[in-house]
Amino acid sequence: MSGAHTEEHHDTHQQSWWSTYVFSTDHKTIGIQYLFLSLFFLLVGFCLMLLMRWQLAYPGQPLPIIGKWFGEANMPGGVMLPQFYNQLGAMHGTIMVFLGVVPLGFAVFGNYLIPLQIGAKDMAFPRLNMFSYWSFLAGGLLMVSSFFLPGGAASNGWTSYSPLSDIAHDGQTVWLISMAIIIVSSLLSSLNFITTIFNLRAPGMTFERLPFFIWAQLITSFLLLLAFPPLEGAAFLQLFDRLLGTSFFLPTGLFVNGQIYNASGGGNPLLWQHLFWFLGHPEVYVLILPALGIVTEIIANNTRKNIVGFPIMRASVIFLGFLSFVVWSHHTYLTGMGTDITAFFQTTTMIISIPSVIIISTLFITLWGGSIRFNMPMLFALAFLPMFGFGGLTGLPLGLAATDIPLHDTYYVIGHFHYVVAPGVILGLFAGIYYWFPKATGRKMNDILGHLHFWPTLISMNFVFFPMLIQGLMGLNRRMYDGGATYSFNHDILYWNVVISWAAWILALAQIPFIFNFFYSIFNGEKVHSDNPWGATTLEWATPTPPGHGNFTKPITVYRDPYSYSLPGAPRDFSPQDQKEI
Amino acid sequence: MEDHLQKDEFKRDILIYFCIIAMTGLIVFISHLQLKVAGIFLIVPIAILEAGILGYYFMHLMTKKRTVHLILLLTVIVFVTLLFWPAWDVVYSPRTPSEFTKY
Amino acid sequence: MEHPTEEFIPYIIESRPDTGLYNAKFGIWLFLASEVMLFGSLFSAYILLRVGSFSWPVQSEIQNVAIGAINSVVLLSSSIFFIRAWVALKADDIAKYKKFMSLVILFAFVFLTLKGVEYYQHFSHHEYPKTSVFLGLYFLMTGLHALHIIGGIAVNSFYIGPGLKLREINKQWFINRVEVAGLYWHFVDLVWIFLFSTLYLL
Repeated sequence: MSGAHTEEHHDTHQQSWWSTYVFSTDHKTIGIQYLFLSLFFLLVGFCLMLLMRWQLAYPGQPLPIIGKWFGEANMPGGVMLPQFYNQLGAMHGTIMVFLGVVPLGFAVFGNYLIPLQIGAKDMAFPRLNMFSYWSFLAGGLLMVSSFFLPGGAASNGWTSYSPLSDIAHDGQTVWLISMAIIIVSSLLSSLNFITTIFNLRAPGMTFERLPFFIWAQLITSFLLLLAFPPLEGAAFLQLFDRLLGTSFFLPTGLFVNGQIYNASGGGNPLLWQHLFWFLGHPEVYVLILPALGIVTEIIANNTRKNIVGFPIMRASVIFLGFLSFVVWSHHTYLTGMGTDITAFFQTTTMIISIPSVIIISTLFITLWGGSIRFNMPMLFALAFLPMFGFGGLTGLPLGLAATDIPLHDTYYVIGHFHYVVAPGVILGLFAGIYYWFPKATGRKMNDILGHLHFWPTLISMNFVFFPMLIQGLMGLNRRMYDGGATYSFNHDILYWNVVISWAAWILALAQIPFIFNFFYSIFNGEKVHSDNPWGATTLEWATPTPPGHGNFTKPITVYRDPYSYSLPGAPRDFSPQDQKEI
Repeated sequence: MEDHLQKDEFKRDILIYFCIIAMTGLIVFISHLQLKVAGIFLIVPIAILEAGILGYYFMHLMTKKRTVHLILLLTVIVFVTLLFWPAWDVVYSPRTPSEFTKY
Repeated sequence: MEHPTEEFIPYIIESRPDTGLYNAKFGIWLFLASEVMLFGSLFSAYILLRVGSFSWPVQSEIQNVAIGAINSVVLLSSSIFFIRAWVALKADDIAKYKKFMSLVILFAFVFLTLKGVEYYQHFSHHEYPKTSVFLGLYFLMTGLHALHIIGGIAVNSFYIGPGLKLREINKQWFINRVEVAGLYWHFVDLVWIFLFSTLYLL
């Protein structure tokens, strides 16, 4: 998919098949490699959840047929053991966040589009880029392979809290090492993206003329660059605790299985929580920002309008990035913090909702008076807006310390963050796939299959996550392998577990049209007859389809703002950025 | 001409070198006095000064443009946040009462 | 003679006017920013654990402050040598460049040797990472720092060894690479200043 070599590039390197398609330094090929890998991990993480949902809907009952595949250690007689449920839970979170959504949003779209949208021929450090991909592959495979350890994979939540994680079985060690490798891969990508955006912009491409997608990727890169290393440090600390017997996170006088634990003590489990969430909170903005960038591109394109208040959006996203570093302790409200520090984090958390609301509002306002085209990317983008908005609103009671007290660690939290990530971010990422598919392949994805994917997905997602909000408000705790059946106060809401599970399984069925559509359209999709089938203004559409090595066939100069749609006096309803006349 | 400039730079670098060594000696001496809290407030700023001088002259920070300065400023702010906020939690929290806790 | 990909990717050799940086220099400063955060998390751990502890050993009694101070001088000297090497390289004096760069590598090995002596002294007093939180932090932080020194040694050795061939492709490009390696090396020195102050003197 890197396309033919452009004729004017008189390179002497005769690229073998291996260096063109496998060990490629071309950002587009690397982006596609990340695409297949992250979609695969997304599917794996999704399947883990489907398995969990059986146990939650029908606790203690054998899973027909499939249950026997997992062996006697995990599902004897097809009945899921609690230990296995915990592994599924921890790995579902880890894989979805670190191996699925972030690579898809950041590495796939970033790698493919950043050089294209800024008018560059490739990233600033192509070989480093290749190294990022391969180390991501190594870390990801190591992470998934931990399921095959004797004790199984990590089973302590994606948050790996101490002291339990310090003394847990080997799967946790593999989790830590995999995370370290994935973090290195991510760091190198971020510095590649930032350097590229700053240094390789085409002439005329000022920061004000950068598409919002690039701004979003830029801020995301800074978040990853500065927030991931503390988790790496924390991983080293926990590895030392596990492998060398140190006590960074083990308090004095810890009892394990009725006996005092043999370590020096003097450590603090809170330290892990602070270091983890110092990354953990910026991480959720890493999840959302690429999707916001994608949706903005698609909305501008399909309303044939400039984004209303674009400078305010830019300022908001910068402010958001900055604030995301000072809100993390809203995840630790219930650890016995003092009131001063709680008040501080509560205030910053409330303030950070302002830029998010501004961004979503500007996108909504842009729709007003627009000439809206309801193609598949636009449907996904339009669905993103209210879903993400709603999910964000459900976060407000969690951000306020007093209301967080009954809601912390309940299904309300799970409902909240899944609303923003699943009907939110993932719909935005799907929108991006449908939107840029013609540029990468020269073919459109099938619309009928697209509708078969979109409508059941949107509806079933709501049936999966809305009931979780109800359950959480009624006090159902998260991470309980029997879905709360042990506690009598949950009995009235247990039936929702069955509803949610069936909705999840229908959601799974709804992805089949997408998987089929994706692969089928690569070979047999309807061909596009233009390099710019959507009539867009940004530079990635000024390339051949698919773009070749070097991307552009002539030198690029940028003359105008990114969303120059429907300019007065223009011959068409869009004016590409690289076109001199209006 | 180039040579002359180089000699000046060389002299300046040697001067910085001995400055940093002298400051290292100073903080070793202060540490020897076992001043406890006061010691921390003396040693840490001097160490920051040492590092600052090294960064400024040896890493040519003074010749860098605004871009690098801004990125470093951002990093420093984030770094300081990471450094002190978690400790704030431990010091002032009711779960580990210390002489600082108000409860 | 142009660097092979200079046409393809600009600003490998000359700096971009508005940012004032060539790509690798921009990249290394970003990398150093992430390293600040990495070591920062360990310093944060130190502060939190020490402030929250009932008792903390008198560090200067456990540590060999003399060796630590000597190591500070050693690393600082290697930084000066690196600057001399870079200046010589810019003046096209390859022999001098190789001499000074070799001194950088030599002094780096001296540093590691002294560190090894210190670790050995600790182990022979039964002072292991698991003995106390302070010692755990000491070994982790200086160990991570030592890994960075080893990485620096590898890079610097490459640039007086096989890496010199790159200079034949484009001189300025090679000078840039050595400058970038130098920034990394100065940073390693800078981290040591804080490690020494925090783990030995406070």
